[in-house]
Amino acid sequence: MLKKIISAFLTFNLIAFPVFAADQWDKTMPAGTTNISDIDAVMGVNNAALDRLVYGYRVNAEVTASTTNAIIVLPGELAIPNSGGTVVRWRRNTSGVTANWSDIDTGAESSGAVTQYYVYAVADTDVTTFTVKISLSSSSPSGATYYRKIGYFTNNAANDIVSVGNIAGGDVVNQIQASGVTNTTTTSSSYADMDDMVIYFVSSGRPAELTFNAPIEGTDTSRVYFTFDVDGTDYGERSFYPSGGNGGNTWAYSDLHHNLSLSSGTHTIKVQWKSGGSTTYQDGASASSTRPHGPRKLTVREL
Amino acid sequence: MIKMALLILSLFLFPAISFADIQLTDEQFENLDVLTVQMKKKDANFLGFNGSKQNMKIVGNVSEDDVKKELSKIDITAKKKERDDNDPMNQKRKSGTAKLKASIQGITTDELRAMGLKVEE
Repeated sequence: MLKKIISAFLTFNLIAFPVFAADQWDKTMPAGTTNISDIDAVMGVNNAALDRLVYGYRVNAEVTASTTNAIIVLPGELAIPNSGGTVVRWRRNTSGVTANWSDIDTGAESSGAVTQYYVYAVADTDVTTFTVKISLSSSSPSGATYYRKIGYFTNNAANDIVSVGNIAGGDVVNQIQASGVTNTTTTSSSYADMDDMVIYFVSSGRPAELTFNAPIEGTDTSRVYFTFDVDGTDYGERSFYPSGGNGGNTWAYSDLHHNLSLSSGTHTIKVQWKSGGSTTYQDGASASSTRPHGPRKLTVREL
Repeated sequence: MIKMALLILSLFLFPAISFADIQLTDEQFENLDVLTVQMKKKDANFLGFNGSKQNMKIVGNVSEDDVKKELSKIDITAKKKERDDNDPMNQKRKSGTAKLKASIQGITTDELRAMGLKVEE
């Protein structure tokens, strides 16, 4: 009797039971030998592995400027998790969504002060599409369960939406361009802000590339100086004598580039200029004078 | 310790650059270089102008009222003439023009045109 029990016990130990890992995709599962009662668990493991892989999925859904009081989120597909990341809802918008101050999560538009806002895709309703919320919070919008931060913008002192950017992901890059189309000038021997050349940038912590270009007019006997100002610190200073043209005032095309590491968070990035003596002009308006003209542009791009 | 206190004090005393708005006349805006030179002679803390005609700022640790007062006293026409008269490049240009005129005396307009020069009547 004892022999039979020992034999049965040994036989039981020799039987191969199908096993599955709890934390990784197994393309052989469920196998033909999988117990029917284990199929849900086996498939759950594989689904969870896939979920991790597409957790940050994004195609388009780019946040773009619309008016001074609204933004547009372009059509696209997004994976939108809950705050714990345990459930991910996959959503698709086939047309653009306009968001304005009626879509703010709490309160109302700021007034008279430069204020940073964030743009969230929300998937709380049981439909195939996502909605858009605006929030002061950089981590979670109030009143949403399934949300994903996809972009940001600044409401400036004149209560206009400026510096519309994206949280980089999928095919969407984080790049902002500011453009100046008025005529501006300086005789300052100390660095001063160039009109309209400011960007409020939200960095994920990656390196960034700053570029500035504009036609400039001065004289060939007086230097013109430019620098990028990032949160009050100067980077990439460059100076030159505008030497093109014939006699009198002369011109040059300013083309500055600078790469730097930006810490994660918000940054104020400007172009500043100063003159070595003579008046320096940047005519951003078209055909306003005999001077070379064209818009000045500051671009910040996360690499 | 005293050195540290002096350093902190000197930091507080160091004049910060300010940017005050100023409205300029058309004539003043067209002659910013003349005004800048004159203002720097009157006050070393004045560093220049910056901005557009509609949104001009004075740069430097200076009083907006003082700058306005001084600007109104500047005779732009006279200062421009003074600048042009003292400009070495202008003087060279004038003497060169005079020499050129003297050297071409006696040459007719037709002859100048035949030489490929554009001559305005």
